[in-house]
Amino acid sequence: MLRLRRVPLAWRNLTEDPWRLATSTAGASFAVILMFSQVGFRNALLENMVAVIDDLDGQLFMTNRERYMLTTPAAFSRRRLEKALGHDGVVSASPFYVDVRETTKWRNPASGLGRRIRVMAYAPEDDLLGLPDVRSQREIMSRPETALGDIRSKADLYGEFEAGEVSELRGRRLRIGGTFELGTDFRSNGTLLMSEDNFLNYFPERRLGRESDPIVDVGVIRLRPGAPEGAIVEAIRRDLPADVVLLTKAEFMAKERLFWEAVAPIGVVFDIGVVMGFIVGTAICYQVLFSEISDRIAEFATLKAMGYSSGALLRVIVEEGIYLAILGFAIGMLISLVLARYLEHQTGLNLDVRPADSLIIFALTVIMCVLSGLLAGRKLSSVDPAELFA
Amino acid sequence: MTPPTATTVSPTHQQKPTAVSQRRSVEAAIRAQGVNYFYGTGEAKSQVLTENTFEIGQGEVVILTGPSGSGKTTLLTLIGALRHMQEGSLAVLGRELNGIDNRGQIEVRRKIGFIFQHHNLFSSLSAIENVRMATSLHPDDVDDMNRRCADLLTELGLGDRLSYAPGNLSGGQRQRVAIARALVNNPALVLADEPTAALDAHSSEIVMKLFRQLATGINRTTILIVTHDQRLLNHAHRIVNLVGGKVVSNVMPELSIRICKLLRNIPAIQVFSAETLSRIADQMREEHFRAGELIVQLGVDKDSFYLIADGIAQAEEEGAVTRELGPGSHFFGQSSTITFDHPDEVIRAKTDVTLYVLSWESFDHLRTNDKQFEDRVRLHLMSRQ
Repeated sequence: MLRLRRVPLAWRNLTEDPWRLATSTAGASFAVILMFSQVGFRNALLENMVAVIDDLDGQLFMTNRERYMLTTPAAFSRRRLEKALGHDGVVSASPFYVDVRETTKWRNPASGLGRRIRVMAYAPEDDLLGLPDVRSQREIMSRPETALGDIRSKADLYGEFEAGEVSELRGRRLRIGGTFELGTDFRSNGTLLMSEDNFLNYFPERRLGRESDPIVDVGVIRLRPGAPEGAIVEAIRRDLPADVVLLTKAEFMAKERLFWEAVAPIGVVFDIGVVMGFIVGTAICYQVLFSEISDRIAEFATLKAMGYSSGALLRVIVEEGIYLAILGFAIGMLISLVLARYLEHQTGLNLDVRPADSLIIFALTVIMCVLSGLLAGRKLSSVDPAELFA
Repeated sequence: MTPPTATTVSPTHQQKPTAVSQRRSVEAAIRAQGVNYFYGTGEAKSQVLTENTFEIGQGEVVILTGPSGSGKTTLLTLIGALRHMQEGSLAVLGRELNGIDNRGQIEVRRKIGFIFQHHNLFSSLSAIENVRMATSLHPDDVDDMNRRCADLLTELGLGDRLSYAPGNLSGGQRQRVAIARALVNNPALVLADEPTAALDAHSSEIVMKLFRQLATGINRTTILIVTHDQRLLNHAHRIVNLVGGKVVSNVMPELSIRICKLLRNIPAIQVFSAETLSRIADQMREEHFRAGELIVQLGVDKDSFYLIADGIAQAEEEGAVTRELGPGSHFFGQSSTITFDHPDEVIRAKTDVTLYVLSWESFDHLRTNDKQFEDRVRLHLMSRQ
């Protein structure tokens, strides 16, 4: 016996025919998968582009003022970084190198072809990358002509990175001393990590002619625990010449995201993808709900004759839309997660969808289905209860 | 005050209340005055209801009948507030429907139980859930709503089918679910379109018994049924016949039969067929006179025919009582033009008297159009066109 005050007509209508339910849900799920994939790729773009910055173990970061993204070839003199060391509260100021220029190529030992690769470097004792499998291999990193290979690098381009493997970087012999796990992004398909000494050997142009003043890409500044970050930032900034900027980690990451999201503007492309998913989903759900009304026109007319208002009829369709959204979202998200894991494996990109994104896609799915219900519900106004007596 | 003399009822004024068309109760559930309805516009405009004036009282079981295209459905949908009124006045359950807005229409509909020929059950819901759709309009305690629905379905012989989907029920069972849905809220008015078309004789009897219970119950539900099912005739308080968009007769069959029986006792009228007798009965007006009141002076007022329904009247000639007239075979008035008896008498009510009165014009018109008795009267009421 029904234990509810209201008969769950919308749910009963939606679930009456299992085959119809399956096709309807598949339609909504398709739109959800479209949106998840776009958001996933968008996040992958943005998050993978800032993953390195996020992994850098420091509070403040110094870069060339002209560097609009991490991999822009705009370095600055190490002396600038050393100036920061003089400030009270600053524990260390370490150079971090990253090079992803066209000339930076790793020769695939299997194919023999040289492929552009991202090379990152720092003094191993500085432990700038907060990755456990990197810290444990500090000694290996320190070895000459040795680097650590990112196992999430694309194997088809670089071959599988394995300890002991020997090939060439920029035409010079390089041995893979060990591996670590970082991931790719939209600018690089693989990463080698080496010591500062090794880096300067492979990239001698960074020495600026003087052993003690190489040009660095990012200065990583660590502060004493409890030190007033704001005051230190202000003090260092006052001291710095105009060619460099000092950023907090949040500012550094935001700047990087902004470039990819708005300036590039690859983020917009994925946003359009989400909108397209929304539109396609709205069209599919509209067709599903319109058919629902058409097939049950006499039943809706009966409701109207019984004294249900047009608004109450519309609520039934909108409720059906909401149920469809919930089912479509649940199944769509499940399929999206499986696809994401597969794509992560295939591309090396981190395709995690944050809970906030899931909530946004859920909200979009509900809006999509409710909107479809409202549009399809216009047909309810043509329902004439008088025709029941015809 | 009742008029002291008889009133002429012309056959052309059939919609004026006659004895058999007067409503049985003080309160009118449906009151129609000059109701016209048209379909289409411009040159395609056609009138489907024409100047319909009638009243149906609370607690009446009314059968609305007529040929196809006579406007029954249009009239039913107007009464059900399923269409907007165009011309005339139609008050349903005390609410004027001409000029009513959509919200008002919904309020009226919620007081009505609709039974459709095609049951129109919700295929996705069980039998009891279909009935619960009606109770949801007047939400109550869940257990109470479930109990009312289950009790009614059980009364209709579906106690073991409560959780069945319509697709798993027979046509008759589905129709009984639809009937339960219409009746579960104890509506003030039930509008039914061929409610027993899919039912066997036993089920029809149960349904009609339910209708009568509702009509005679505390809510005095008015039941208006569009039907051609002659099994229902014995249950109707009133039969309304619609032809060509106009109510051509609106009679209470029990009263009509009683008048016919009284008329049949009159030798001069026995020659008429049952059809003519029922037509005569339809045209008679009920009038009441108090004891001592003058009913008619035959030499002066010779325009009507009087039949005593209740009470005693007396004939006086030159101030002396010549005879007493009581219910049964006693009549007076224009019948004298048939029998040429007692032409100069004065008829006075000895006790309170109820009379059925027929004008001479009506009597003569019906007589000339004569073409037998109780059995044929009911059939005739259904098939007249």
